[in-house]
Amino acid sequence: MNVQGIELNKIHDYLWEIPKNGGMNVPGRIYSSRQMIDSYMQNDEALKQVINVAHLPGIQKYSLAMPDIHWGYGFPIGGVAATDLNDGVISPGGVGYDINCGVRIAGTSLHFEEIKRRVPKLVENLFRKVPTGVGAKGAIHKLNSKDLKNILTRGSAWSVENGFGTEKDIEHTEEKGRLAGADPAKVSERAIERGLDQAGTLGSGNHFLELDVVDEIFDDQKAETFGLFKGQVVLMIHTGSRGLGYQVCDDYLKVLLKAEKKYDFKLPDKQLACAPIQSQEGQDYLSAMKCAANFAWNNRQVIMHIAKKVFINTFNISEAGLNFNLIYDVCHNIAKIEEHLIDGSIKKVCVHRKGATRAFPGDNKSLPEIFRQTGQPVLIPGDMGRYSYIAAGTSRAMDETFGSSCHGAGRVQSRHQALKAGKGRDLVNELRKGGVVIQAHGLRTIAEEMPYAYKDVSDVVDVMHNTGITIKVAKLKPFGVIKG
Amino acid sequence: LSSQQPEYLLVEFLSELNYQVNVKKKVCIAVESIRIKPGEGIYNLESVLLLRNINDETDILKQEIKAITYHNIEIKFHNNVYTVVLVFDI
Repeated sequence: MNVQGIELNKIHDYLWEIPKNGGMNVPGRIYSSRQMIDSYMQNDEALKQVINVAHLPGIQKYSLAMPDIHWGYGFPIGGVAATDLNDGVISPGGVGYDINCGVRIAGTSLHFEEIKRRVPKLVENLFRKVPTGVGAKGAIHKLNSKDLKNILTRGSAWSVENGFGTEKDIEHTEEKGRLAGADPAKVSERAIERGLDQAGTLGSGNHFLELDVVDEIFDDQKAETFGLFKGQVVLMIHTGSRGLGYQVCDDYLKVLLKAEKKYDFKLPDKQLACAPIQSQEGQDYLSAMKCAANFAWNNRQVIMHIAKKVFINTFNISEAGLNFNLIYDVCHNIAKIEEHLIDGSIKKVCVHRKGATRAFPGDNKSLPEIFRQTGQPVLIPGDMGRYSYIAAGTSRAMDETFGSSCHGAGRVQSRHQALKAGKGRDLVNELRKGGVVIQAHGLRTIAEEMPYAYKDVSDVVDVMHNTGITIKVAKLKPFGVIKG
Repeated sequence: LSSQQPEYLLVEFLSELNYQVNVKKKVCIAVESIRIKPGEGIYNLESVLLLRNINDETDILKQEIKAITYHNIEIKFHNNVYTVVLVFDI
């Protein structure tokens, strides 16, 4: 089949290959259904970006795209690329501006039926306590630069030491909430400045707090291990490294644009600016990126702690009675050094996941003991009106996608298009009729993030499930949303 | 500011304004002067800007710009007019 002049060869019903051509170092591979390609890819630059990524020096096996693929800066959103640790490159375009943007889901002992009358109050209280929106600040005391540098090197551990979390939370966070090798000296003063008052803030754009009810269980054993039951109230948090991360990306794009000339790279897009991983520029970016990733994990941890207090106060319930516990925290904008089987031998590679979630199977030693029989929880938020999913990682993901899966529904409308489509409509009421109470700083954000702006996340998750990359565990239905 | 291409210089200049808004809480209300000088493989920009403080009570920032991107950036010159399409990450 041919899409926008790009040849797509069918491997099977859910996998399509772009043959290696011209300056591509590897073929491209897209996980998608025929229906999704026909519906969403005819006018999207994303396929071209899959080809562009295949030009990166040292890229291994394939330039990959998950089914939520859509146009991004440099890499497509939903793009995965692994580069050789010794002669490959690292690219901020493969991580994104919002370094370690990610999702966490916390479970509770509450049944939706018990609390449904008090949902508006809960939403209101969460909106009041968790700083949201443009320039959100002040969730906790303003940090001094010593505190901040501590967060940059230690991630979620800072929260636990300062009373914003527990050891178990750390255990249930990807990489235990900290990437080693983060050096704050590689982070600019500007980035530090942007982060000082943003710890524990949600921000704006597509970031959210979402209250969900577990609507359907697909795998009883895995759901039980994850601590999920039908009718359960859970909280989902989606945010990242805020201004600090954007500044790190911005700073290093400038550095790496210069490196392109120095290392004589010929790349088809400026946003793919990169440097050899082992070069000074590459190592400096990696170190600064780790700092931003650690900041983001700490950010989600602080927000979760604030949310727990809101639950306790709203329902006048004890901490033990609430049993607010972190199911898992995943990042979906990151570059990480991992070991993968390539051409029959284990190789160290830098896996870029840009709008893609790690999906490791249970036998991976980096996972906590509790997930050894299930694989890691893979958290896939949908849109704020329909549903989200929790899935589990598999060994097939290790074989095919460098242990990666989709990260969400993926946009079908730009923010501008969505805003236009929402004109003249009472969107808050539309959501309320669908059983979702929303609070946001403005109608603009609500319009930009309406369900019609996104693909149906079920289609996306089904591609991953039917391919065996992840296994569906539970479907969540939103009933309360807080937006920036 | 200095950069190897005029396009990069433009991104840096706008990033500077964005930094002033996001961190220093100042907004540019006038450009008093702006000079771009091509050098040896490098372009330099000097500018004097008039800024004022953002008032939390009366000014509403409707849209946060995370970053000014380099996506497909190209300054074109046609009929004596320079044009460029810039993509902001919001």
